[in-house]
Amino acid sequence: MDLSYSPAERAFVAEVRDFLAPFRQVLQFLHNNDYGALRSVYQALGERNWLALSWPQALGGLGLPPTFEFILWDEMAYARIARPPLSAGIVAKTIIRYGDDEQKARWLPPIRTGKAMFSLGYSEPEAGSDLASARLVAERVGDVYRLNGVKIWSSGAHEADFLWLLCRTGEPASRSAGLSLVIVDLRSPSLRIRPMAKMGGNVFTEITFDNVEVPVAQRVGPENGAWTMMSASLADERHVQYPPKRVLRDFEEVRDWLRDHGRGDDPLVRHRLAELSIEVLKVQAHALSVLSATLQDRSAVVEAAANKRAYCDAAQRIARAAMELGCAEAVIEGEIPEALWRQSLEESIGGGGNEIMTGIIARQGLGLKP
Amino acid sequence: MALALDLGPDEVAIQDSLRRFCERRLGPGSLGRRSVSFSRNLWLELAELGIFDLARDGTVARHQQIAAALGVLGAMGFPGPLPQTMAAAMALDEARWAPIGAGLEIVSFGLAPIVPWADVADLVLVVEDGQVRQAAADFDFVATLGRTASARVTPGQDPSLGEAGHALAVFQLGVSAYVEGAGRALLEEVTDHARTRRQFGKTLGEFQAVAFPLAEARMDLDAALVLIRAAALAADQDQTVAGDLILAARIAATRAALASAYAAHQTYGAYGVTEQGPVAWLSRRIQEYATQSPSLGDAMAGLSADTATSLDPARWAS
Ligand SMILES: Cc1cc2nc3c(=O)[nH]c(=O)nc-3n(C[C@H](O)[C@H](O)[C@H](O)COP(=O)(O)OP(=O)(O)OC[C@H]3O[C@@H](n4cnc5c(N)ncnc54)[C@H](O)[C@@H]3O)c2cc1C
Repeated sequence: MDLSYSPAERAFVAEVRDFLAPFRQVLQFLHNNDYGALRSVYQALGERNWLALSWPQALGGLGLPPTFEFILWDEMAYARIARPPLSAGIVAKTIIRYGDDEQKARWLPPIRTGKAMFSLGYSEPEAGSDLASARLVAERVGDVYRLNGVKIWSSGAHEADFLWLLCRTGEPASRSAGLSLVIVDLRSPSLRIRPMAKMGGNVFTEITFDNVEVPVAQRVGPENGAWTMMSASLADERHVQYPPKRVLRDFEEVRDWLRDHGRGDDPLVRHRLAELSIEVLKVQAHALSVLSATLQDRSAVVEAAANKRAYCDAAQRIARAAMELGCAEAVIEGEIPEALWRQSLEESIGGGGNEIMTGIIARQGLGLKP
Repeated sequence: MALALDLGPDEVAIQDSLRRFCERRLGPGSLGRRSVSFSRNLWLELAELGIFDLARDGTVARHQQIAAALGVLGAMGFPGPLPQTMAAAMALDEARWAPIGAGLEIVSFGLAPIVPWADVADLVLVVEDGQVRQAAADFDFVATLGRTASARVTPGQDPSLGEAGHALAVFQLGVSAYVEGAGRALLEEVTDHARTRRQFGKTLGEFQAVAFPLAEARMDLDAALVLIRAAALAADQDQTVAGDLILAARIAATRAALASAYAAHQTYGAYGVTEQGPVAWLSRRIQEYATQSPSLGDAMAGLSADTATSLDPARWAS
């Protein structure tokens, strides 16, 4: 067992912190709604090739182990600057594994340099947790797919350039065996994008497709082969999705806020903070388990589900404790407790709800069949 | 009379008439109610039902009726200083109360520094050192989680309006009833969703992971409702347990309402965390009332060592 970073990784931590210094005002990790600021961060990362830290060198990446990505996005989370972009994560990693040479040449350079921003088009009104029931139809007509249907809850699609779209190319009842992934240009005139405010401050969108045409060449991987690719890309991204330093930062901000509001010496407050610090450690423990499994090329399905669940629990407990510790100012809009209370509600739903994560642990970790 | 937990005919009549009023004025479902903000006209109409005069009948407070009324108004998410007005009724003399009871003037009540609804009020009362005082005239609006037209206030220099004890007790009881009603309304609505929304070929309610938190919220709300009613009855009858029960009701109702709100957010999925969705408007207010002073910690500190026996009928004087 070894819990320390290597000298190179340690040096990278320092380099990342230096890099982040000028972006400390970009507080987009929680709110994710200033797309201009986010683009500038991603492009600056692109200039260092840090969006491609773990991509193969032959495809323009740095070929570094996953620990480097973990460090970058954990520090980003701590500084509250930004989350990993969908483009350089799920999208690029799927293209690297399954895309053809033309697709690699077309999509990887703008992603690597932070110029192309993607939104995720998986969920539908009737297909949320049960994604395999997605219905948006992609009918093949010559060398295009004609798309009809509705996507919902796509974060930030009104500001992104492209949509990473899950669509049905198989029979209506084909479930996970009839789904494909295509890239849709969000500027396409026949798309209707309706924004909806989230409690956490950013924006969901509902996207209506009415005979939208997309070249077949923009399908990534085999037709009807989305499911395997989605699982593989999820595995590729596990170690950066729920960075433990986000909850560490929540904890520190709440602790300092309580101290600044005269509650720091109350024994009850101190006791509660001590409990919450254990929650933070538990998230760190799960995150390191995911990283360690990823480094050893082991499946980390159970570890990742536990990491996500623990991360949501900690974020919500910290925010809710802050509301309860006897300081009426906690409800003022924009104060740390108020902002965390609103934002942390959404964490236990997006990316697979708490119940789904717990089910994975029960089924795959314990062999139960709930 | 045999032991019974049901509401009396007066309370039932009050609840029925308030329910009818709210359905007529705010709409039958929650969709219309979500966007209703405080309005003086609506307030006046509510007052014309005689609701604020429930709080005082000469010098006698009618706690059971107050609790029954605020439970329905909480379920409807009726906006405005409801528990606050009931509390103020305990602190104001007849001349100052008359225009407030009639709905012509608005009062709010609370503890510095943040008082909900103060920004729409003509008169703000704050509790300081156990005394009710009028707040200093100049106060600033602050935007809050519960969107309650709050303001940052300080106590003014005028002489005390009297002991705060009874007003605070009515305030705590009123907040308890309001949030219990709100939590129950959220639970009813989300339970309908769990009965009808299908994923993986089943309704959400068929998954125990979804059903159990809703059942637990129901269980907690039911206990809280009994505590609220018992606290109100104890106050009406001047039982020695009244003080403990009111604080216990505030704690239990707040926790139950929050559990219900969290389960509702979670069960609605992404829709449950949208601003325009079915949960945000009420859950924001529930959390704000949960946090507001006097806090749950203060309530906890105020409980006597005998609190745990305060529902034992043997302790109640007949
Ligand atoms: C902040 C946020 C960002 C998002 N961003 C995107 C995005 O960019 N692109 C995109 O496509 N989607 C996005 N989503 C949507 C997200 O993927 C869905 O919300 C999620 O899959 C749940 O689906 P649902 O909202 O329809 O809820 P439902 O599937 O209706 O689930 C409701 C509740 O039931 C529970 N449940 C469902 N099935 C089971 C079961 N079998 N056992 C136990 N419990 C169950 C769920 O866990 C949840 O608590 C986002 C959601 C959030 C909250």
